[in-house]
Amino acid sequence: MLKRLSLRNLRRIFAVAYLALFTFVFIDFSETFSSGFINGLLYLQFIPSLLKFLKVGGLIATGFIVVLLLTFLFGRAYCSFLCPLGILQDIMARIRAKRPRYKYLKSWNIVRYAILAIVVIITLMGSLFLLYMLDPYSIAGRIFSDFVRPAYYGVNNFFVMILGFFNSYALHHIDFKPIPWQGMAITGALLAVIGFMAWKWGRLYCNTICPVGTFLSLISRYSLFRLKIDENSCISCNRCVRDCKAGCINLKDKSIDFSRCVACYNCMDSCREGSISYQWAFGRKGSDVAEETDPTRRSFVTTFTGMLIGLAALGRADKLFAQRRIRNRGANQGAQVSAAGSKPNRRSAPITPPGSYNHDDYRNTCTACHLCVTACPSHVLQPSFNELGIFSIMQPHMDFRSGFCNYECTRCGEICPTGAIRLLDLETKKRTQIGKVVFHRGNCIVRVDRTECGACSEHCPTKAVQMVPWQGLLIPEVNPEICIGCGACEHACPTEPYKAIYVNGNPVHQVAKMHESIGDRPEESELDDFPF
Amino acid sequence: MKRRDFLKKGLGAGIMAGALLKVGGVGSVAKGSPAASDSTFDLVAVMGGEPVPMFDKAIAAMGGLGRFVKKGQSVLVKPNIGWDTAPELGGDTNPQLVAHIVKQCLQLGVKEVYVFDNTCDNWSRCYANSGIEDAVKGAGGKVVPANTENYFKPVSIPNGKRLKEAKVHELVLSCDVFINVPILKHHSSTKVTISMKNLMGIVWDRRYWHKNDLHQCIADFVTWRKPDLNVVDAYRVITRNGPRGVSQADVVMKKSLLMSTDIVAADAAAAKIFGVEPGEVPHIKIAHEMGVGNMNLDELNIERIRM
Repeated sequence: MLKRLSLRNLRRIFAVAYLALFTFVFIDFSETFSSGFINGLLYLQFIPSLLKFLKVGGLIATGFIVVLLLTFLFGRAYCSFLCPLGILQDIMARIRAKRPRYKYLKSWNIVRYAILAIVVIITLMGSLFLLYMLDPYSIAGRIFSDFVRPAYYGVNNFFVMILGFFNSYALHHIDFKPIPWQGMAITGALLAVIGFMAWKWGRLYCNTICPVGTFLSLISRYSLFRLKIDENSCISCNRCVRDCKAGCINLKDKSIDFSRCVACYNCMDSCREGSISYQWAFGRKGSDVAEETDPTRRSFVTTFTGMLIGLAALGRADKLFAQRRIRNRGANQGAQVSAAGSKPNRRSAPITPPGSYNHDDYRNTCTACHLCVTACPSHVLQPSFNELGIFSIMQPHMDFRSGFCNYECTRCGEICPTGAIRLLDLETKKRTQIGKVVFHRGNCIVRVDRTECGACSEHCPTKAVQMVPWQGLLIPEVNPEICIGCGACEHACPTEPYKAIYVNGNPVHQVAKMHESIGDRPEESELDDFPF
Repeated sequence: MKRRDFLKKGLGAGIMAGALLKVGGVGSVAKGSPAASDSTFDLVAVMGGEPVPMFDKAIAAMGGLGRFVKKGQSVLVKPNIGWDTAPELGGDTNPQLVAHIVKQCLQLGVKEVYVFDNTCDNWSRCYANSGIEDAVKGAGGKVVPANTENYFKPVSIPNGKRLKEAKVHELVLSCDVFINVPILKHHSSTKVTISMKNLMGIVWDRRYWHKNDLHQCIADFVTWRKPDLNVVDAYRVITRNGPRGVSQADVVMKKSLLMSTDIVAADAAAAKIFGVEPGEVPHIKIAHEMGVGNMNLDELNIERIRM
């Protein structure tokens, strides 16, 4: 296949290697790569970089400028070299016995520019919903994190089982925390539709729906160097058209619609006459393709977009923030029937990770790529259903059923590519109050069953939950001022279905007070002999 | 998980060991360990030294580690690695002490030494930041995961009052010798956490314990299996804000170490070092009353060593 080092083959090698790394970063549970490596790998991802630039700024967020320059020079190389969904489409299109044969497609300019306009308007109005639904980077992230990751865990656990026969603990078992099916259904439907489109029409998604593709096409239209057909040597053999997955080569007038070209360079390799090459755009008159629309295709696209929104709205918004939990446990004969945890309670607001500053900011910056869901070592960051609002579906929230925020950890802020979760230094993170603790005495084991428990206080890293004497027992007492909302107490609380202690999210994060007795030196013992 | 269980049963070995243990019930199945009467001391207490030299003094007084571990055996060393905290904070057992015990076992020609804990904070970070993972690996021991239910097998506890069954880490079932190496700390709900409380790190579902009379469950579990040796690290002791501790201001340098085959006696002595009467700690009292061990220190033959 790779007979010579053509641009196409370079592109193939680069794209496959990039996608392999990209995939691994989105399924890895062992913190194999440093956050610096992950930042580098995702530096050129267009939407995350743009958002980070707008929200945070800094050198690390200049990747989108590089992409814009690259596009202005050579066209939409991003789409073929770097876009994970683009590369994935190329691979999906190859799953067939014979090589795909493409035809010239008329451009759907009105449709694609309309979609881009809608996305931009809605984004500017303050909802990222449509953008993250359609952004190729984020869709690919969700595909890998939500679908490939559980499969990877399964393979890992299979090898753990095999190694277990040899008493080896070289690998470790890992549980996949189930994620809301509504989000998975959306990602699954998107994957099916995009896969089908790729299989049938090549890069149709990229040239019709994808807001990044459309935006870059506005620039590649005016690229300095463009692929052009030499009309003199071209024999109209149609090979290039057959290989063009963007369907942008029109042999009638021997023109290439460079706004739709994804710079895959298939045409250059397929042309036996050497008629297709990069040329200085202003040397010769380039011919623009007539812009027509096709009503049937347009309706397909509108139906598709409508379907997305419909799916998202599927769930009802009841029990919005209830932290109900029911688990089936094996019967233990000594178990008592307890009323602890039977009184309903619900949190006043959801919880977003430290570094997200406030909920509105977070909702407007997170593209739900689920990198943090993969990377969070405590598995507390989980895709939401409607906890953050239905138009934030799949954006991660702090799910204290599956874990709690590890006090000494800043991993999510280190790797978040959009700036939705900003990096806090550890000491700041330890003081960042993402929510406040609430004690629901009526659900507490100590109050209801009159036995000791204290799981909440035990886990609390700031001692915002203390055990104080109560009727010969010890019962929790909370001090929300020094609480950081990490959810350790809520996660550890054993009552079901409702917890006796839980966290109300802070819509705007605050700074927690310090515990009154902090010191960096231990006391010397007053014990000078054995007390027995 | 089920498939793994099934295949394992098919292959036999591991489960047979577990079955033997179950039949054995209370007490050790460490083969060939001599009767306790060989040692004249029920409890050895050391004070004033560093953790490793204190261990060496204590184990010598106990008649040497060879009393407990034999060539070719597999050994489980169970420290407290519950929290993602630095060693100075006293939240986890002293890493040098754990590594030293591992090394001493390996020098006696044991087959393997395993170390694990079902942690409270994120397990891999607890293992790393406690310093225990590196120290144990450096000593030649194996640091083993206990992060999912997959590693835990059900056992029944016939003598338990509230805790009738529990899921226990497979290595507790398969290892010949079990050395318990807790750290003495304040505990917000059980007052202190020492040897018996440390065993909550070898079971899976701790929520059940918290829901069903925590102190009784702690005592119940020890009726199923007593560690062959308890080594209590009382060097850096969290005396308030336990069991995690907020800062070093919570730590008092007690510079002590306790060693006993009687888990109740070890906890009783450690409670005294902490500054609380053993009888005031419900699980120590309950375990004493259930006949698991003896908390009356004046009835015991204690070796006291000042360094």
